[in-house]
Amino acid sequence: MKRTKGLFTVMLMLCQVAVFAQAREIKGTVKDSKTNETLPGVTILVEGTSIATTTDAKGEYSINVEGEGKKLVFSSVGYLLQTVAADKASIDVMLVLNTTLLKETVVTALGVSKEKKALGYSVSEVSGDDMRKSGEGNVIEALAAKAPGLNVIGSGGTPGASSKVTIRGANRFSGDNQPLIVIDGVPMDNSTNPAAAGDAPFNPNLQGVNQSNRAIDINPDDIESVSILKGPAAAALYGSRAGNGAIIYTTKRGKGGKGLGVTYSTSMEMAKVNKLPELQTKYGQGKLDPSGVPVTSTSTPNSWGPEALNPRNPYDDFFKTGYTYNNNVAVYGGNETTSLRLSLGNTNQTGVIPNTDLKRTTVRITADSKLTTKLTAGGTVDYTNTAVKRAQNGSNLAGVMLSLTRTPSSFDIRDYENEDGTQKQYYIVYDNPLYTAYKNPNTDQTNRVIGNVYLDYQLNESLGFLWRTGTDVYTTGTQQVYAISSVGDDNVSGLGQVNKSTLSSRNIYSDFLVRYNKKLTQNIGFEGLLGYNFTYDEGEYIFARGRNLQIPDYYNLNNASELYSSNSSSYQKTKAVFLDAAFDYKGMFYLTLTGRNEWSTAFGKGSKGFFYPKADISWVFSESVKLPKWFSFGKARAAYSIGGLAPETYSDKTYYRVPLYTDGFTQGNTLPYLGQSGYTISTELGNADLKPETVTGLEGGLDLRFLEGHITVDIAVYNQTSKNLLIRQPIAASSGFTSRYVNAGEMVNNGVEIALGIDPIQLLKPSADKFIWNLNVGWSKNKNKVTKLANGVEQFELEVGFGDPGAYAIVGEPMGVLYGSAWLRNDNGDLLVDASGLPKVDPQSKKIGDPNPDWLMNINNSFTYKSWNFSFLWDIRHGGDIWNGTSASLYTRGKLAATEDRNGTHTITGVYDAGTPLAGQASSIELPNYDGSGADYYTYIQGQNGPTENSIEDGSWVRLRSIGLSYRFDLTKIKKKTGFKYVELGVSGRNALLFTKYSGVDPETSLTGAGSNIGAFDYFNNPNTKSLFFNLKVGI
Amino acid sequence: MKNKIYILSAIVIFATGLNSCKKGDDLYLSPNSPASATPQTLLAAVEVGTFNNLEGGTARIASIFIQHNSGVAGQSIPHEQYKPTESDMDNYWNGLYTNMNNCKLLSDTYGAEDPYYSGIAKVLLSMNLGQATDMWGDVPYSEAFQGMNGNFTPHYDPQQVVLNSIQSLLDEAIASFATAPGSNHLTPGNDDFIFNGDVAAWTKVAYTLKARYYSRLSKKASFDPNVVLANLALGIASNVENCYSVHGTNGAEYNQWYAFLNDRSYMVASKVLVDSMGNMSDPRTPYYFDTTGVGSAVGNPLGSFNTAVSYWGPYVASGPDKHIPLVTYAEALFLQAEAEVRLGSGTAFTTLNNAIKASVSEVTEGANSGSSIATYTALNTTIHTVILEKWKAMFAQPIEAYSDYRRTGFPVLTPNPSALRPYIPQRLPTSLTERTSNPNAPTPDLDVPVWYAL
Repeated sequence: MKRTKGLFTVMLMLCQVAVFAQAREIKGTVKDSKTNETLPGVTILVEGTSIATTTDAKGEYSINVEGEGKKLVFSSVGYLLQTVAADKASIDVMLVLNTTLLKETVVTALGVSKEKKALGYSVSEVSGDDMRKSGEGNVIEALAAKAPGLNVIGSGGTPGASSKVTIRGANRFSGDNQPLIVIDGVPMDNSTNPAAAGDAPFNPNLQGVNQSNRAIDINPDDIESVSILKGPAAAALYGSRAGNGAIIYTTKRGKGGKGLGVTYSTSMEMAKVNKLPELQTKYGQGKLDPSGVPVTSTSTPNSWGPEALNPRNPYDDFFKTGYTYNNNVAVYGGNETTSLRLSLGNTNQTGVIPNTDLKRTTVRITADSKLTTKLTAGGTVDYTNTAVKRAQNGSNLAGVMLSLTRTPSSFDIRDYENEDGTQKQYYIVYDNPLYTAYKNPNTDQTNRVIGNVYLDYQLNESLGFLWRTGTDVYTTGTQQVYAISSVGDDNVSGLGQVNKSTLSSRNIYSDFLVRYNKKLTQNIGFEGLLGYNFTYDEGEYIFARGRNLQIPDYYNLNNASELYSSNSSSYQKTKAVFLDAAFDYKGMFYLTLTGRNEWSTAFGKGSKGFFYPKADISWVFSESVKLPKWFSFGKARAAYSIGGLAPETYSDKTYYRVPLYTDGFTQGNTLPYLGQSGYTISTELGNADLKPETVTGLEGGLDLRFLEGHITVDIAVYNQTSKNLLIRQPIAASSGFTSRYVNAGEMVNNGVEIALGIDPIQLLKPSADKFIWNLNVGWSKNKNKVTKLANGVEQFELEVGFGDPGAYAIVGEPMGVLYGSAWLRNDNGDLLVDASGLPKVDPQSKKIGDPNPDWLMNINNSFTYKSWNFSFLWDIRHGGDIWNGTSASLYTRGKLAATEDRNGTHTITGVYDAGTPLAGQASSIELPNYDGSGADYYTYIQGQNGPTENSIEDGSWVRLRSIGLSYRFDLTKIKKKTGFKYVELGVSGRNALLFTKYSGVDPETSLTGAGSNIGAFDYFNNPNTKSLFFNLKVGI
Repeated sequence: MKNKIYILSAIVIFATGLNSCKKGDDLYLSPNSPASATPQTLLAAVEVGTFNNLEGGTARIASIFIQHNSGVAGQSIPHEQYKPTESDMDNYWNGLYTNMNNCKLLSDTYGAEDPYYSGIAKVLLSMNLGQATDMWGDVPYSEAFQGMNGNFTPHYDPQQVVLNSIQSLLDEAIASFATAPGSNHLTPGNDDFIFNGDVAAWTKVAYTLKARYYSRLSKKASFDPNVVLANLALGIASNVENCYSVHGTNGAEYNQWYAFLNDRSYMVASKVLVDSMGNMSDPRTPYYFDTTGVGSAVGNPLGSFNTAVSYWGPYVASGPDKHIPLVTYAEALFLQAEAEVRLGSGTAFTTLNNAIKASVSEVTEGANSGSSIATYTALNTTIHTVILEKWKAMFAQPIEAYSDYRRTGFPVLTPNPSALRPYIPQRLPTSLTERTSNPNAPTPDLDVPVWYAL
């Protein structure tokens, strides 16, 4: 043995001598594979020697290598080791983050960073860059298909249209089902606020315009990263706002250190309508005369007339290319103690519908300063001005799609205005679509300030304090006008109308946290958080309306001969104390206990507080069990929690209200009436024993990583039971009241979420530093079931809809099922027909569709080669019914492309119903496609004369949500200094491809938008868009 | 150091700026709704509610069933096809019962101090309740309006009991109107749109209503036509005393016939009525229907969906502020004529002719006396002709015509041949919410007659 060692030493010496002779210098730069940023401090070792060096501040190195066949080993904390053959004079290396070993942290509730492996619940992260790749200007829509369990539905492609997000399904029947939105630790208002008069009889979401969800005031370019706290466990610290989970946006902050940095980015987007219902243009306006011959008639809106002479497709005369210009400048700077970021953002968008646009300007200043070694202070002020011009939508006689799709091909919409400013219509009670677009704009402007300040005092290693307060204040002023001659006004009078409203909202949030960390024993660590929290929410709304205008195109209330105004306000305060105690054992076993007690004024005076607990455990079994080498990391987790959801304010009492009387066909009557005001007792009974709604979540999960983290798998399963759900329990009106507000309902969400990440190239060929392929797949399935409503209530309509269909909660069915008229069927499902063979309508309404998707999937591919990046994201939704009311209506009106064949017949088979001469026998008749009787194939089987069941369609889709190619010029290496650090160029597409069986507009559509719990209504919804955009980013 | 002071002071200023929060009751009591009302605001509201109920959807459906009008478009087609759905009924039913609840609340809360208010509330309540029982038969009353006390599933009273309750309500109202003005703490004025606080006028309406609802019992063995005549003797005695809904030109004040025509235009003249009236030979035709440009009324034939026909005319839709008859002299005279025929009185034909004249005069606002068509004689004055003529007269009160049709079988009507039911419905379906949330709610088929039609 001794001899061998001696020999080895001699050989080694010989080698060294030999190598010395061939020493040569190798140079290069080391960068992060993901961010493409240079990495300082990377150790480079010549394999098998002690020769080593580190990269400098610019990530550059040079090393002397002796001998052939040597390899260089690159290592840096948090990165995977990389070994490269030392066979060139210049070797640039991309290091890949070691997701296995790094002490990864993630932002959790209250903005607290926690170690990922300590978490017993599920959190998904989305980077700001991934969000921006979507090309969406709305930070909610930008999350679509980015994380399993997240369901984002945009309401349409018009500028400023809202997007609704839910996590793990709906949890409640009324109120918001969307997660809490938090920016830098302070909640922000993401409500969607339709303008509504105090005397408005109908659900304002069914008509009007596509409103914005107010998170649209955030500039996506300011976002650094997003944490999605799924379910009540992750969000438990938010107490009565935790039930729906939370989305935590962390904004970019200044970077301490040297000097000033500037980034500038600009983009130009061109958008087109991506999908429309197909129309026939062969036949023009008219109807069948008594002998069945098509005749031209303008007394009908229908297109059952003779062939049009010069047929036009109204779409060609209407939609245009929408352009969006985005410009962002950010300045970073700082010194050793203070850092600063100032950003300016501007978005200027025009829509595909004429005369629609959005202009948003944001200014954001963030500063952090270490005042002493222990005290840090900082804050952010964000000012946003968002101005939107919106087009009429939905069930609305001035609706763009309603009048556009019904436009007979014999009518030319381009000639829309008479000399006196009134419109040229094809039918007396529909607006000309171009006239309504140009003359009836809905304009609104929001001025918003979101700000927060904090003081952080770290007394010693164990004990620290954080005091933080934030405010979110905005005012939205809205004006809706209906020109004289437009029939969009409330009374279809054509006399002109102007609505003006102002919404002021102010939310204050403040908390004080005490942090305490201590190693209790050698093996047991403790991290504690004790806090107090205060919130105050205030909203005031003033609405004014003028009808019967005198001077055309002049929209001041003093131009109206009939005036009305209404106002409402609400104030709410909550206080809470909370505790979060986290224990860890040897870094392999973690237990966290959380409790929050909260008092809210919403429960009435003298109400006791409510307690929201949570417990979660995490076991890193790869630390305690010997696993095969390829099994790099394994963690099992479980959590139990109860999150809350607060009731509406002032619902603990029965008040008197100004009544509104309507049978649903007219605007009805209300007071003041002939100079008299009037009040009646509310039709809804208040509830003095209100409790919060609770969501009890039980979840488990696995976090697995294989082959040094080249394959990652995250699986979550959960069961969320919502209890004490507040229901406007419909009660028999014979009791004198039509509803009660009660804590009665229950529903359950069960689901699975799977996230899979692979980097195949690195996996197969670890040293291939130049080509990186990241493949991420997310899949989630949520099953919702309403398990209980209230005593004696088996179903109720969630919000006032069209009656038939309505969105219902029905025991045993998923939340929000579509309920309406259906065909009468026997037990085999055969249609029951009358003596003439015509299918009969079931006298009782029933469930006719389920808007909840069966599962959602997203597949993201990102390829990086040198400075090139190419990525594309597939978004798949399976299932989810939509009521295509547009189709039923266009069938009835002879406008849908399918109605072009109007002389043929369709075979209708069924079984003769009881009471007919051939009862029980099979029937088969040839039903004329159209004969004007109201009982033909197009109007009865497919159209509005038959049951609503006809127009339920599957809303599944496969879409290429985003695709993009970018190239980055690194200018730091160029000898001739330009002053630029880099220039990045990109071209991308949004919604480039869409595959769906849905026959209407893009099935990512919602008539009622983010402010409503009705899903899946399509009744002349404005269409969605696809777009191509170019962007340029410069770093200085 | 200076910077640090700036930063700290900025933070302090920011934080103190957040202090202006609401405190105390402002956080607990709604700033949007009052906790109590007044007799004036309640009366104004229940009158408007009554206008809306009596002119609204149920009247339109009755008008289609009774073939005054045809539903040729939109959601009126199912009514033309005799398939009103239970979900359609919620708005109508809720409108009636919530309004009745407030009538009762007004009477219960303020009745002792303000009997006139109580009396008007009871007359209005009986009109709403009458409509409910006419359209649905057995309906809740004795256990109704107890939601505040936790009874959400009232039993349904048999129609016989409901009709008795209406008589009691009207008797109580008449007694309230008989009190001296001095025993009223408050007396109604402008808040009573209908009669401006004139309790004598209300008393006559109450007696006429007693006659109306007593006449519903005509098929019953105990029916005594003399009771009808006795009540009518104290009832409305001229067109001047008619009870009308009152409307205005403000959007909240529209008459609902006008509003429906204006918003929806789903209903048109029925050829059955137009033909029965001999078209323009009846002076009321151009008032019922819009004959502009054509010179005569064009009705939609049963089974068709013709929209190139006559829409409503000035009698119900001359403008948003057109008043609509609720209880009239003509109706009183028709009730009298019917009672007289039943008693075998030889002068019934005079009453019938007077009824026709009162109707024509009311419809034409005095422009025509109606004598050209008021030509009945003792020979042809029968229940059939009295009810046929009443049917022509009750254009704006189609529920009266519908009730008469069901209890007398007149006028003889052919069911719409293209309807989904082979018969004219005898009632409306039970409202969806009532069926699903009140186990006491019966759900009879639409061919089951209401009790008074048996």
